[in-house]
Amino acid sequence: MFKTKKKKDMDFEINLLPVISVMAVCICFLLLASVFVKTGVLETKQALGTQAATKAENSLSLWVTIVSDTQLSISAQGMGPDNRKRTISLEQLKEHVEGLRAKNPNLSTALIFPQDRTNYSTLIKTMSILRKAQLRDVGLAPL
Amino acid sequence: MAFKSKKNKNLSAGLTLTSLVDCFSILIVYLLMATAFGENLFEIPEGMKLPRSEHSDQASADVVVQVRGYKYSIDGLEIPMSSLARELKNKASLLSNKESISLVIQADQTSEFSQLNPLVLAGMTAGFHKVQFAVLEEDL
Repeated sequence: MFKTKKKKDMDFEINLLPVISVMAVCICFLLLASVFVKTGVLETKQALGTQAATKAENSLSLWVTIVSDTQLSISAQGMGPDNRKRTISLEQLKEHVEGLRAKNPNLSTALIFPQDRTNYSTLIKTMSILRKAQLRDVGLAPL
Repeated sequence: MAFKSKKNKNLSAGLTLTSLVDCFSILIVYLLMATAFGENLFEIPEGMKLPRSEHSDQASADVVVQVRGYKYSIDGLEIPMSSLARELKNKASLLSNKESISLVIQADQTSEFSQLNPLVLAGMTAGFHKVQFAVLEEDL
């Protein structure tokens, strides 16, 4: 008799309906309240006309001129043989900067010189690559 | 009598809800991981596509300027190019108690730099310490 009662007690079921209701409400709330598009910002330093810029011009810095949507003209200021202007593609930029940083670990400044017809998207791509290559101060030269 | 008991037994059969609860749990965890709560400080206007960037910082916008062609607007109010610097100076003076004030430029990815240049110059003249470009974070 005692054994039968124990067996009966072990055979219970949890009522899952309230759990499902709470979860359904949670899912609806998350779907409505969430933002799937993440926005951020890319910061730029003033490239010309300040003391900071003068300092940057005198020390190691990378000057990047955006020639077209795919082409850049690049020169490393204060780095001897790398000083001369070179034309590279946007895809080569990261590799090139990483190479320069391997030679000069102190290189942390870059100045971007866009043209008036330069596409905003290209400018952002260039800034993004430079920031990704560990250049902390990315400046933008106004026209 | 025997027939009645069988019918009663069939009616009391319940659905197995465990798998449904499992699915819901996975869905909730995914939604919690995928969403970004309160990360968007500015609204993206309709028809404007921000450029994508693999690297970006978290936005801390004091003043947001939207650029559409050669038209500039702050808080939905259109500002003529000639009075852009003056307007930004006024905004900056209101925020002068802050250590560093930032200007966020919101423009379509197809814009040209000549459209942004007056704004960059005006921002720097007005005394904004940071000039930032709004971007969409690109997943790596």
